[in-house]
Amino acid sequence: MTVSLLFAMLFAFIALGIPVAVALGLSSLLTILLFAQDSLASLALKLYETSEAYTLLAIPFFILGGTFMTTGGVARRMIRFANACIGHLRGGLAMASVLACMLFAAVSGSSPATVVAVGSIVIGGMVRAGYPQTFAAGVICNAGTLGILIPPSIVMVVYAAATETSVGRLFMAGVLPGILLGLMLMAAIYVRGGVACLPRPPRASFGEIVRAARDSLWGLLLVVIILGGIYGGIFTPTEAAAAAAVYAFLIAVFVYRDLRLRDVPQVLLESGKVTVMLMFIVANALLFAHVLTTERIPQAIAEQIVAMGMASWQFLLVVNVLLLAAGMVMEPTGIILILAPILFPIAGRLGIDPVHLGIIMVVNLEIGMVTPPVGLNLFVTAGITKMPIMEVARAALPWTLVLLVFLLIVTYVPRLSLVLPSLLF
Amino acid sequence: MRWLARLEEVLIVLLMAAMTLVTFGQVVARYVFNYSFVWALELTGVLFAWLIFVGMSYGARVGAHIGVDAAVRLLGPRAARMAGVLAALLCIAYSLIVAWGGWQYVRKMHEIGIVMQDLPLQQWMPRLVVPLGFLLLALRFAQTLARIVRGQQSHLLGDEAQAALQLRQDLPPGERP
Repeated sequence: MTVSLLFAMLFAFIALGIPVAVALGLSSLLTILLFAQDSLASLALKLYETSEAYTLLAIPFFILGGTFMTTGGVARRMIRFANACIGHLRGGLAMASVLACMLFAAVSGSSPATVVAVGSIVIGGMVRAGYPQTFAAGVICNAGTLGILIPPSIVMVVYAAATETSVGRLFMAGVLPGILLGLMLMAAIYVRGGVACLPRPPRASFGEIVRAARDSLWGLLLVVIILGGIYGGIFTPTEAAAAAAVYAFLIAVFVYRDLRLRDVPQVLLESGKVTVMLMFIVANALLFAHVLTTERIPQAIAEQIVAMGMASWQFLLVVNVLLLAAGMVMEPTGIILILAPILFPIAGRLGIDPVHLGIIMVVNLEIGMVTPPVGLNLFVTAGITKMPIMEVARAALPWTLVLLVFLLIVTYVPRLSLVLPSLLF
Repeated sequence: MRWLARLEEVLIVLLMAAMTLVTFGQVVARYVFNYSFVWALELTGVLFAWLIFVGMSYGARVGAHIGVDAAVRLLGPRAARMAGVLAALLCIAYSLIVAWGGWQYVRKMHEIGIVMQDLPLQQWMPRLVVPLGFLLLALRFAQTLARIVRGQQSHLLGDEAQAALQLRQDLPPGERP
């Protein structure tokens, strides 16, 4: 009863056009005031405590590093490198764009940022080379989702904070699936490229490949710092994120010199804005999750599911359907913070590794970003290309099918996610 | 009001920079000078809290708080305006409820008078940002309400996609959306 009211208020507020963060907070506040004994003061404390979650502290740093990387010309150099490597193949420009998305995903923790950084250069480039715009937009829209699968990943940090899973293990678990998804998209491009008669630029000279590699090396080193630093026990994920932000600043301003020192405050403000937007949702979603736990909802659902005798593969199927539906209409951070506390205990009882569950959630949310009505990557791609959103959605659909096949693989082949973390940790 | 807006922006820039530098400095100090600041962690937490709770109202002013406008967009102009007014009123109610709760909390902490673990501060001091921040947020939502009533703005949602597009590479900075 209490819970149905809680969710009814949440959906009503969101439909009314209230920001997601406020809708989460207000529905929780009203539910607690009506049905529970908690004082208002303790609820305010709950919001404040968000800032004391050490794991979440990584979020502003990853955002800041990503913004420096985006404005600092790192994406452009990665695209040049990717083009030099595989641009000459059938559908090579599109495949190189996917490779560039993979490389940029390794320095950025956000999917829309990856679409903007890579897409704003390569979509125009592909169209000029003779690709249909729908082809280019569809590929980038989907390949950009790699931003949250290949580490670092803001969504994984949120999942780690919600479930007390290790950020380092989650990051490692994303590496192989991320590479596999990139390769699957490239294979799909290769197959479709044969039908669509795409143009093929000449092969780059070996010297150009080496020069491009050397030029983009500074950006690629970032992923070594982050993963190597965490894995080597040099820093915590949060410290790694701060170090990455400082490193990205140095590269953008002093090595590539694409960013002037006086533009740095603007980058800080921009990153601050994104951080606040995200953290305001996180704080309120944590309040929402707190209401769910005080009402013992996760436990009740867990007991019901276990009593139903659901096998783990059936449960995972339900999880996927639930997450895909939620991903279509909700924003990823909110979904993780609301659903992870519910799904996590059930998964534990069914013997599903929390890291594996995290990767499954991330891949579902990737798909949510490219499906209407609420798909951030669709909006961003539409913004870059000036195409209507529904047209982008149609263009993205064939490639989203690749993502769906990939989701099945990730769900039912846990080794793919778990082999690296269990080797290294 | 211009000074307040400017203050918000300057604070966000400084807090972002300070958080990053303190955390990074901690790593450097540990490895290079074999020394660690006990207060670094607590300080970063406080800076983070201030960033979030000062930044909220900045976010409301520049329309950074995202939502779903799919349903509202189906409404006619009159109904959409009504929905906008109602939404803004609920946002103001939310901000005031939390501001009040935050104030109660700060007062209690003040009475008890616990000091922080590593910083030479009382616990209520950094937490003062909760009532202040949410009051400021209520003010920003009230301004939005006024604009909706006057018909200068249709709804109060931000557009995350539009914000992300400011980082696009193919246009010079001046022409970015």
